[in-house]
Amino acid sequence: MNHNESLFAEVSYLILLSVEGKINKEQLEQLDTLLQTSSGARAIYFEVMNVHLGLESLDAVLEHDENDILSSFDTAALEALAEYEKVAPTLESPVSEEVEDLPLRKVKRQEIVYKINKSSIISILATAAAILCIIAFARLVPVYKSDEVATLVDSVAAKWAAAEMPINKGVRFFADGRPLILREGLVKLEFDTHAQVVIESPAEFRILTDDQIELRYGRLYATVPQEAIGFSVNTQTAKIIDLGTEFGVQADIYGDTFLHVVRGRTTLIAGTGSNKISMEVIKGSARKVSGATSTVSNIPLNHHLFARTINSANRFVWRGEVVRFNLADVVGGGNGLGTGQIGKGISLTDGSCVSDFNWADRQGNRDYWPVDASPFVDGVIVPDSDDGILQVSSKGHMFRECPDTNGLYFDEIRNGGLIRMTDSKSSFPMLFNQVEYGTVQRPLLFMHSNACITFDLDAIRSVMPGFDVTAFRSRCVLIEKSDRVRTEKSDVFVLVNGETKFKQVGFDQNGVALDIDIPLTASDHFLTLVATDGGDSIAIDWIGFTEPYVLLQEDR
Amino acid sequence: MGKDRVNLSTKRFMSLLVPNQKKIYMFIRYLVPGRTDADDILQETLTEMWNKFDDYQDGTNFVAWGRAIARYKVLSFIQKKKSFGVHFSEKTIHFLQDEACSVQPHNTTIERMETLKECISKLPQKQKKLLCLRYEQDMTFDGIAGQFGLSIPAVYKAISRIHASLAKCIRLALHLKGAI
Repeated sequence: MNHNESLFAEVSYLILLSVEGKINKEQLEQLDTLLQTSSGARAIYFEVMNVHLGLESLDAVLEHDENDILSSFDTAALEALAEYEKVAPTLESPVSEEVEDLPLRKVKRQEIVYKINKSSIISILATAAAILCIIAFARLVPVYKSDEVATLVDSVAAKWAAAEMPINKGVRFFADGRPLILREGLVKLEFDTHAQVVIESPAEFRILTDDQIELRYGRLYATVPQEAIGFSVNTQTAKIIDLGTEFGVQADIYGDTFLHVVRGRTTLIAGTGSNKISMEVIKGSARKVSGATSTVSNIPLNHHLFARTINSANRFVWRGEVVRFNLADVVGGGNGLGTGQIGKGISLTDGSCVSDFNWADRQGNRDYWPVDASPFVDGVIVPDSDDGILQVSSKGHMFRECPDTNGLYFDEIRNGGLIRMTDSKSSFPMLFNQVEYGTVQRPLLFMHSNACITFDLDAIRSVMPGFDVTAFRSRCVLIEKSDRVRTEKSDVFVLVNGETKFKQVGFDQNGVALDIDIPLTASDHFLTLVATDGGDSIAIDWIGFTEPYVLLQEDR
Repeated sequence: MGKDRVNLSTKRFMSLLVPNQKKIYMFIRYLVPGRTDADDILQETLTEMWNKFDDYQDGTNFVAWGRAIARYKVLSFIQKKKSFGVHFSEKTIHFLQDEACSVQPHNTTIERMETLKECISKLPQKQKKLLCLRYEQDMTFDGIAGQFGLSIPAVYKAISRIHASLAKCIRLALHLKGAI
């Protein structure tokens, strides 16, 4: 939505509230500011008001031609009507319960618009009392107020100060201005207008209306769709009005407010009374409002300060960065975001998840084993083929360059851990250029040939709604053997939907890292890593994929 | 003042007011969008115009004279209702008043009303129904919300979007017709 369209939507909405008498002070202030500062907003204001006024009189125009009214104008008749009104019975005020059910607008049309047009000034004045009665009762009609205005849609490790406050999804929140104190974790609220806020502890906030929230302190990130334009965040010293955007607000207990606009634009109002100032803050910029002086200053935008999205299913908290979905973590039984165990792996014998290993040369059976324990791993197989064709997915994708290996395997596919030898019970760390990998800090997906593992990209997509899988990036290395220079060779392949995207045959270079950067699109369903014996043997074929990440970017 | 003279004055006033009352009312509505408040102000304005009609000079701009009185009544009204805080500030009134005099309301010319109707005819059926319920059947917003299975804020949003699209349609149509 371009600027003009969003302005149209915003002004139109505020006008409707104003015409219907439902506009509140903050919204009126917002409309006031727009009309004072923008000639474009004023032009839109008159255009939309004209639509209102036209619609209000549309049926009258259809039913009554204005020229007929003029031609039938008869002062004598109207004076007679005025005479009648002198003796007419006094208009009794209806009781309030009845007024609530009255079609108020119709009453106003009959009493005000048409009688004024057709009657004399005397009759206008005579009916004024009746109009005032109607207006008075109109003001007694209860104004609609939506009590429940927002829903808790997700939370991560959240704890309220009030122990009785629930944190389960679906809890409804009232626009009652009650202070809500979040002691720990994060919550995501969705207003009925579809504006969403992620609030990060420690924070105190109050829900004021269906489109207003007050942040006393803490961090809040608002994502406001088109239909919720006008959503506002108030702090002790500032008011931020959304004009179709995403923005983060940090407020501290001293009254300082920090506004970071990531997308779209906002109006920032700071100060009070005659010191009040308002300004537009657009995407890519940030402002600080001083709690002490209410002055506004430019500050650098921090793209990653605010939690923008949370997902309790995988305890995912996204702060605007490119998401790195860790395949080593997945192999360790994790969710790709750091919950896996170092050293844990997937058995090439039957596809099960294992923590205890049987280090020994074993013969693969050429079966493709589905991995039921992880939704993100489609299956594993010991690669070996006489005709070069190997099944590498549960959907029948075939790898057509599979080497004819000796069909043996020694270790499982693992999330780092320690190297073990056949001739010794000793173990040692996974070193590359004297740096230890296979740790939490330096993840490494370890594959001792012959091994093949296929990841299900659709499964990753399913747990990361709103994000696109864009690439697979890693570096392929050979783990060092400290007592001698390697001479053994290995072959390495990376496949997408069975097609070779990366290949290194006869890889035996110690200390060399092979960069792998494979773009992925929505049609790519399976990513396969293959490590084979290079035609010699599987001895010391310690292949590592360091920082093996599937990259995800926000779907825009 | 004799009865004949009163009748004469009334007829003259009415002959000026009837064709121009709508313009004065529209001017008030531009400054005070709420219909009820605008109706109140119109009453006060008309009363004042009648009381001061002797000061009105024939041949001068009756609408401009009426608008001047209306503007005074609007500001007076806003001052009185200031504590309620739901009317435009005086500064905004200042910004709007000059442009409000030059704006041509849709409901003061047949052509513009026809354009409005043309634009309504182009709306999707559901949007037409929304307008019908609100403006022809005078249904309340919560009534409409119930009928459509929407929240009340959603109805406000939906109708405001229709207004915006109608405004854009009218602007385009009038431009194509050479009317603006």
